[in-house]
Amino acid sequence: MNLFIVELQKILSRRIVWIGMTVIVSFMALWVWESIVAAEDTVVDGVRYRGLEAIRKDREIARTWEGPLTAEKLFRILDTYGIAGDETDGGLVRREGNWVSRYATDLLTDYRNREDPGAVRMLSGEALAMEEERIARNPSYFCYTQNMDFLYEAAYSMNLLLLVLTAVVLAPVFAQEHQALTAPVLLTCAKGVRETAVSKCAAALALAEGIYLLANGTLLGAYLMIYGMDGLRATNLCGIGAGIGFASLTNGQLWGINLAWGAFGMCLMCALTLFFSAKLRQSFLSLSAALACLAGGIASFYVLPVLFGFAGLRILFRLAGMCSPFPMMLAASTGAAAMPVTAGIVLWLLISCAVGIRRYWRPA
Amino acid sequence: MLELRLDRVTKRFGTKIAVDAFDHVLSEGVYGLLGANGAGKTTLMRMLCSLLLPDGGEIRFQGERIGEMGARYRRILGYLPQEFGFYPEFTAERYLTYLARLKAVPPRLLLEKLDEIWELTGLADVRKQKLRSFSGGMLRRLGIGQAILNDPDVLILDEPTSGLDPKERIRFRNIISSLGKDRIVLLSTHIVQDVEFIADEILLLKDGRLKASGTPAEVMQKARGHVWECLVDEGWAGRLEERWPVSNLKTAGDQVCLRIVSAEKPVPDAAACEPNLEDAYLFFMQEAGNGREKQGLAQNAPAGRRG
Ligand SMILES: Nc1ncnc2c1ncn2[C@@H]1O[C@H](COP(=O)(O)OP(=O)(O)OP(=O)(O)O)[C@@H](O)[C@H]1O
Ligand SMILES: [Mg+2]
Repeated sequence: MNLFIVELQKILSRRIVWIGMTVIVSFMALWVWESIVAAEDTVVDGVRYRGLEAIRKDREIARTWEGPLTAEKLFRILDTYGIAGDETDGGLVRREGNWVSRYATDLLTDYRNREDPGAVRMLSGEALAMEEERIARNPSYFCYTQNMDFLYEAAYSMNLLLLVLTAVVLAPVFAQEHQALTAPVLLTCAKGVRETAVSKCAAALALAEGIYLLANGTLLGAYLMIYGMDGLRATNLCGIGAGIGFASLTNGQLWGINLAWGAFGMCLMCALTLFFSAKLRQSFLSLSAALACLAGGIASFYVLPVLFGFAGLRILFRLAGMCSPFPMMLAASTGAAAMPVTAGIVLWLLISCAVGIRRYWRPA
Repeated sequence: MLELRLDRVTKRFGTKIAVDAFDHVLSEGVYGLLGANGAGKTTLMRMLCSLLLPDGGEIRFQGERIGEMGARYRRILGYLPQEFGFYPEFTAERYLTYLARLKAVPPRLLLEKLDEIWELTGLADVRKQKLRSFSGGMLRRLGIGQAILNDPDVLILDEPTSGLDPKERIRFRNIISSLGKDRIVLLSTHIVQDVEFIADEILLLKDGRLKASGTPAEVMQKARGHVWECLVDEGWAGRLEERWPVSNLKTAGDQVCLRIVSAEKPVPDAAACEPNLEDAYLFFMQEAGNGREKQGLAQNAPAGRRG
């Protein structure tokens, strides 16, 4: 009998795992479909397409413009398709143009912050010079990246939910043995102490990372199936993301980094929850403590910069960011120099948790 | 020759001293730990299992501190906790297989070992059933089964017979008795008859202190001259009961036959009689107490059993 499997089954025998996964997956699926795919539309040669068909048309058009992004290319796009403003159809406001022309319009006109909703005007003078300069300063590779920013956001929200689920699912791992009074027998068995604890940790980590990879894989897979792989080649989110750091990385590489970073964050969450579970010997208390850590991490991400300004607190932000699985902005705002120190601190935290888990079997 | 040596073992919970300088040496045989609720039996046993750390004193097995032996000690240890937790979703078979794995029972011996346990516990028919469907007595038997799964040298059973029906209780008494031949068996109980017949040595615990120890005969011997029987009317019986521990009370017409544990003769026409283990228990429990103290056992004893 494999101890790892037994421990995994003990965790999985709680209904909350399945309920939690189902809720998160259905919530994400519904969200993706309702707010994304169903809302897609594009106008090509005067015909308006919707949903998946609109995506196909936009991708075809974007392919012909793929390559390094320049202001000159954006001007040519507007020359070809015209400015994409709004049209009113029986009280309904809809966007004109296709994905490419809307993209160029957003950058080269006042569409986004115009005062008069009727007229969209090209940028001129200083404003135009600034935009041209910004585009030149952040060289990016242009291709079809519809809703790529949304994908990052969705992944962020989903992973936040997964962190909460991790705490919920793993809080009982050690505590339950004490609460259900099964611990005294286990702890008096030859292999009931370290071997059991190691199996528990392995099962917990495997499960958390498994769920994490499955959920993110599904989300990314769904995006790629709907929007195609083109977006992975873009850098800098095609210029929209300019200034958030990692300028030279493609979306594909960024996703790889974020996934790994998030998996690391998940591991930390796992370690924290298991530590509390072993120390407090009470599921609900352990869950509360783990969630408090998560909330603290996220809150400090928003609150500390306001309170103290960015400069002095880079390490803290990074630590906080470990709890949020997609700390892109964070990485950019604190700079790569803080990375080794952060990694050191996080590693120390992980090891302390691992050591602290010994409280599970420490005699009272 | 096995030796489990307790040397002034003490455990405090806050200001409460649960076990107070407990000294004793255990070797092969069955030891019956007797004591009232809260006497410290469970606390003592948990310390013997390394689940609790003594605040003072030490416990040595074959001369070595058990805390330092770690897994080596657990390998020769079997423990049935007073409150035995289980996994409701596991079947009995799966539970024992799991524990056999944890107890490092060699896989080639597993099937043989399990068959032995089914035989012993009488649970063979329900081994495929989930534990959630088990009755309290069945769980108790399973608990005893898991404790002896690894053929322990030190077997610690905290109230092994509680919740068992009379037939099973007698059966398990015999099983435990046979287990004591070549290992140290320490069991706690509230039921005096349970230890009277099988314990090689009785340990009487009161407020965490060892009040008396010895074979049942020795313990009974010590109470000799302190047990009286008398026939009085009901009014008197009430007054006597307030004053001394009464190990038995039986109504005979409008008179009451009382069995009283007391240093002096309670009434002039009381007759001294041979103490049984319950009398001895009461004798030691009231000693240094306030005389009116009546501990759980007397009330547990079926009235009129030994008129
Ligand atoms: N974890 C604990 N914290 C505080 N006090 C405790 C703890 N465990 C036991 N005690 C106290 O120690 C004393 C001895 O308790 P213990 O459980 O050892 O008694 P016992 O002899 O097993 O009683 P019972 O026959 O009811 O099982 C009791 O007064 C109890 O209240
Ligand atoms: Mg007890």
